Amino acid sequence: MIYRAVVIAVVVIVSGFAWISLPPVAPAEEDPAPEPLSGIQSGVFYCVGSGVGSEATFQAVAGSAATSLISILDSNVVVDTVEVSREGAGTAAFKPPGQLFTGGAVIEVGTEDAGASWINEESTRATATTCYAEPRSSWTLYGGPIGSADRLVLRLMNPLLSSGKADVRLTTEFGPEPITELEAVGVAPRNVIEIPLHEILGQRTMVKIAVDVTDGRLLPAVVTTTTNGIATWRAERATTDWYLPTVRVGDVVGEIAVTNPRQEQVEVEYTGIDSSGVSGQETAVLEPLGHLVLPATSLGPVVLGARISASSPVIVSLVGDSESGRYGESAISELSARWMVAGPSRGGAIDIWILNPSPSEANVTVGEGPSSRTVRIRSGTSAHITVESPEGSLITSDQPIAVSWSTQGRLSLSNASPLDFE
Amino acid sequence: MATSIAAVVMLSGDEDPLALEGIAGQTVSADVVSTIDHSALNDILTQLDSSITHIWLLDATTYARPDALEALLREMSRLDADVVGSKGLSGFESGRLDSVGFSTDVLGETHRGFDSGELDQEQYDVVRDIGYVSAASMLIRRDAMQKAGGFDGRLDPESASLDLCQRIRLAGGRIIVAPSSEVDVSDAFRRGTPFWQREAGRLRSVLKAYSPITLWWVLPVALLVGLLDGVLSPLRRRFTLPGFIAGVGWNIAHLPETLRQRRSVVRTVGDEELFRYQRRGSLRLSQVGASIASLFSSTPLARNVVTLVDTGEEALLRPNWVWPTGIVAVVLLGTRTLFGQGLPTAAYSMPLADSASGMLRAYAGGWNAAGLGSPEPYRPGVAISALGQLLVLGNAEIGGWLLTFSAVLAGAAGMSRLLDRLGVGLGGRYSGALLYVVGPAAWSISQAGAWPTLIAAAVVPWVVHMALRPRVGLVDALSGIAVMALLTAFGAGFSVPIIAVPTIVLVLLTLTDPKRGGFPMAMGSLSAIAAIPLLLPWVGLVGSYDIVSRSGYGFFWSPNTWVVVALGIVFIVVLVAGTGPAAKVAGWGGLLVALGATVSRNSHRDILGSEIGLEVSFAAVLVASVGISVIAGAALMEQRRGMQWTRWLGGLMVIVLSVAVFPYVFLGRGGLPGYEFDRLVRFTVTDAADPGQGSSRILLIGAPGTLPGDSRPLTDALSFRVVSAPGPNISELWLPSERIGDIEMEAILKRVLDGDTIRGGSELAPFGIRWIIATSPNPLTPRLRGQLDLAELGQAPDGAFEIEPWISRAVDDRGNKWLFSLPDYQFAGDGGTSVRIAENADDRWGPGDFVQDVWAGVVENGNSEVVSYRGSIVLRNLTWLSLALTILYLIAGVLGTRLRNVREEDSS
Repeated sequence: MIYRAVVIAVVVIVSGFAWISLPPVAPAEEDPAPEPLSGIQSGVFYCVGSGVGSEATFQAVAGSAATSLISILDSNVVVDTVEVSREGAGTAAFKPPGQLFTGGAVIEVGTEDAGASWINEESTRATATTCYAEPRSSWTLYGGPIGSADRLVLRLMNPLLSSGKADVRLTTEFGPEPITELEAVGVAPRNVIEIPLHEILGQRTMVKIAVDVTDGRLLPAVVTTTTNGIATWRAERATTDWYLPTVRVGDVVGEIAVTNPRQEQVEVEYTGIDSSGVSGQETAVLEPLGHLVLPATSLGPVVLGARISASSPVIVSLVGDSESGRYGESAISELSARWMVAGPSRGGAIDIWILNPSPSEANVTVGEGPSSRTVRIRSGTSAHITVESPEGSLITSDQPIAVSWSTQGRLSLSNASPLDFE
Repeated sequence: MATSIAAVVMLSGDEDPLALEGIAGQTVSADVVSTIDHSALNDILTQLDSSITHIWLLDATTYARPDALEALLREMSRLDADVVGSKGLSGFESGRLDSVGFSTDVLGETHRGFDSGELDQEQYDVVRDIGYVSAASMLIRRDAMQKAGGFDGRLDPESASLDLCQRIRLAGGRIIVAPSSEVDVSDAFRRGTPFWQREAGRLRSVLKAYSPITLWWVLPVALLVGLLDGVLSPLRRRFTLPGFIAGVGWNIAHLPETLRQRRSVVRTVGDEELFRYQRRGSLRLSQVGASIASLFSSTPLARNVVTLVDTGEEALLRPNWVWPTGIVAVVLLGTRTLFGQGLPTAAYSMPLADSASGMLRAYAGGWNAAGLGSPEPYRPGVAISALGQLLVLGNAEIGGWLLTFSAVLAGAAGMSRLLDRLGVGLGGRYSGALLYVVGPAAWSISQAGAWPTLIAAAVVPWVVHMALRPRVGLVDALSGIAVMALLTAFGAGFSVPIIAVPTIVLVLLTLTDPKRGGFPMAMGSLSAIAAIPLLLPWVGLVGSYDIVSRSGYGFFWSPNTWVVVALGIVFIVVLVAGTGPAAKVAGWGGLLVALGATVSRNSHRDILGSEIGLEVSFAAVLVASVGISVIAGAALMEQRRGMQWTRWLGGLMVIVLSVAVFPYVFLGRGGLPGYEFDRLVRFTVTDAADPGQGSSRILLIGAPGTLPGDSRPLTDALSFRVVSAPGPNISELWLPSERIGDIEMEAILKRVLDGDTIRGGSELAPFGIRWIIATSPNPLTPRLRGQLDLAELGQAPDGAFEIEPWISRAVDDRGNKWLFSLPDYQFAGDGGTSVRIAENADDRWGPGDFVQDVWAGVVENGNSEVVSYRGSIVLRNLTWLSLALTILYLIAGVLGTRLRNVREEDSS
């Protein structure tokens, strides 16, 4: 019996050890990236652009990149590839081969100090907008009003080899527009489609566009055309604080459009800024899903820039329209101490607009090397610098700032590309 | 009409016609005495005078006792029979029965009706109707023979007698045996007829006798049963397949003649009259069962059956083969899906290679094609698999099934024999055998996709069984070690930790039953050591413990709580209340289970700086499986009188077995995981199968454990590996050590993961990768979705991409895409002069010079249509050495077995 007891005891002890042995600790679940890559990380920019006519050329600009590869995409074909390999900024110009070109571009850069803009220059007018560095799956865009002679086009670009799909929802002064043909809109690989919202909606006093990407990667932009000219702007992420380094291009003072993408009321505070500080303030309340267009002139007669603060995330855009021309761009939501102005390589000087919303004075350097210039911008003020050779201007500051630029002559406004975020 | 008898002596050679002496001494004289060559039996009627009314046919070696003819005539006359046979007695062993007439089964297989060696005590001395009588001595009415068409001279005498008797019966005649007519029959009478000739005669008599309706089902059954018996006959130390096939072939060759003769058969009665004198069932099928029984047991009873069945005797009807046949049926049903679909690709299960010969070439110093390739030798398991595949003419699906089926069956048989040696009775033995292959531990192994361990499991009980066999002298022990080493090497060739398992099992046996001494333990250890050189060249060149522990994920055995509780109860009950032998066996089993469970549940831990590892974990579960079987066997061992609980335990065992067997049989793939992965990558088949497209690879990404075979870690929770498109095979199961290309690929994947590139496709294309498929949700897929040169295909729930443009694994300087055909690259046609191959750089690629291209290489091929790896002479020589040792061990084993048999015969 002793033998039996010993065997039972040994088996029970060893089995007990097996019983209490814990399984291996599973490695921590690595969360899939919530959003696709940041352009700064990946060195890629997606330029939806505004499309060009047969007589136009456009430029996709990579600023201060050692090597950049610009692929012009249209109808699932890489129409052209431009490789720029040199110190300093590079610019690729492309002239469409005798037919309407509605494609976009993908810019791959070999350095993190890079920005990209899409500049469409025609003989009498120009548009410019920053290229996307951070694609997302949900977008909201301000569409503005559609007059009887106006065109409002939503462009959706798919830069990848896989098909993309998105639900496009429109909200107007009549509320959500039930348009089934805009559900599950497909975009073929390496293609850009144009959705003529003016044809679908007719005349409207306000259009808000929401794009929910369900498959692949799609990037939207709005192109608006009135009798005065053409303007294009891209989408931004809804947030509570917005900065407009300038609210005027040339002699055209823009209107600030604030769009509420949520089903809740939002209090909005507008602060006009000029070279000496605050030029004026306004407050407003936005209804759920509502929008408000405020002429910048109501923030002071010499207003240069503006800050917009909201109690909940909103979308802010600036649109200028007069007989002199038309421009538009989203406001800036993220401040940065370093910016890249991917300006045009030709066509003369540009104005660089710098807003310093920080509580301290900012020492801002424009350009690199011996030709660089440093300016001081007081706290809460906006300033502008004219640059004669604007191609690839690096802006550095000891304070977080917001930077945009505009062309002289033909009206166009674009934000610069931030190089690091606060 | 007056009776006129001709005594006809059949001659088959130059033997002295003993029959003439017997004829001369008869109390009733034959009117005519003549001789005839047995091949001229069909002419017997023409050679005899027309006045002859009865023919007494005798074999030349048969001695008829004086009243033999008189008795035949008397019974023929009394019962109005047409054919009467004598009782045959052995001419060599006095009083031993040779024949008292024969019956057959429906397939024409002869049944004597008594046991071999049975003495004549007049127990069969009854005149009765019978299927047919022996041609050693038979009296036939001439008119009946004429009506039936006479003898068939192409058949051997016994088959000719069967054939004639059946035709006479169909013509309304009567066949009887007259035991009062005694003849002495020489043992050489039947031995002179080769097996194939008897088979030919049996089938011909069937073909001629039965009606078409009967033939419609009898022929397929006869073919099937003959083939099955032929395949399994080596288990009873005979090999009947060639003889059966020859018999079938002979009948095919003589079919027109057979059909002609068939047309002349007079049929006044139907087949039912034949059936009346036949035995039920199939004697040949019983032989199949006996063959299987002999696999499961080495007891004298089973051995007797093996020898008895070949003579078609009474022992065949004993049901001791029912259990083994049941186990075979379970394994057959439980692996049926593998027969058609081959092995699934899941965990460590992969289909066999497309080309068995290519696989063998790759093994013998060729290129290891797993991953991005390596000169590292393959595991011996792949070569063994390829050899098994060759047995079925290279068919990968049937080969995979055959290996699995054979291994599982061999494992069950080995466990049955082991339990038999431990003194476990029939029920316990077979219950244990079944639990070993489909029980909870075995189920865990197969469900985890550990196919190599499943195959290796076949040898463990056999090695332990052989270690426990008493040995007589040094030669016997050495031959035993040689055979055990061969078996151990077989198992270790698939799963290297198996090399230590028998020794561990035997050490625990010695601990629980010290009286057995250390001899079995020593045998186990020495055979493990002797097995090592058989694993060359692989074991010699990858001597790191990494080969065991590197595999990418931890396995944690979690048996069902109810199973653990049931096993614990059985163990405690047997140990507390069982007999001494049963308690010892149960104690051993308990220790095995406890040790196996402990190791398998801690394999993720480090010991001496290395993780215990996945393969050790599987091997530990195998040890536990042996323990479970042993406990089951012990529970059903003979217990003290009045111990009614054994019935309860028996009942419990039946329930456990039923529960265990059901999913095994229901799923039908040997317990292995399903074909989900194969379905996942199936979409690559169409393009990958097009030779014009060249060869490509699939990059697999996913959580560790979701990828088939070995994988390499990218992060703690993400692994990757490449496999050939359209799917991997066993040549890619185990990845060789990391080389330059693997490091390069890992760096690219990390850059994609970190967001440092959006051109991952073009960076991966030079690796010959065309598709990227995710096997589980992972952080890399969203990154891949953002790559500019990857098209998402939507074929896999967690992501499937195609690289655009992709690059074939081998492209020559003219842009031709070469095909990979293990272990070479080939291009039929006017190819270029140099080929870039996406394999880890190695300058043994040829035929021309090799120039390294980053991590891969460019081979000058001249005008050759094949680019191949020349292989290392050292590796090839080591392979030859291992083969030579294998043959040496085999010879030692065979000689030892012969020696043992001689000793056993002498002692008996």
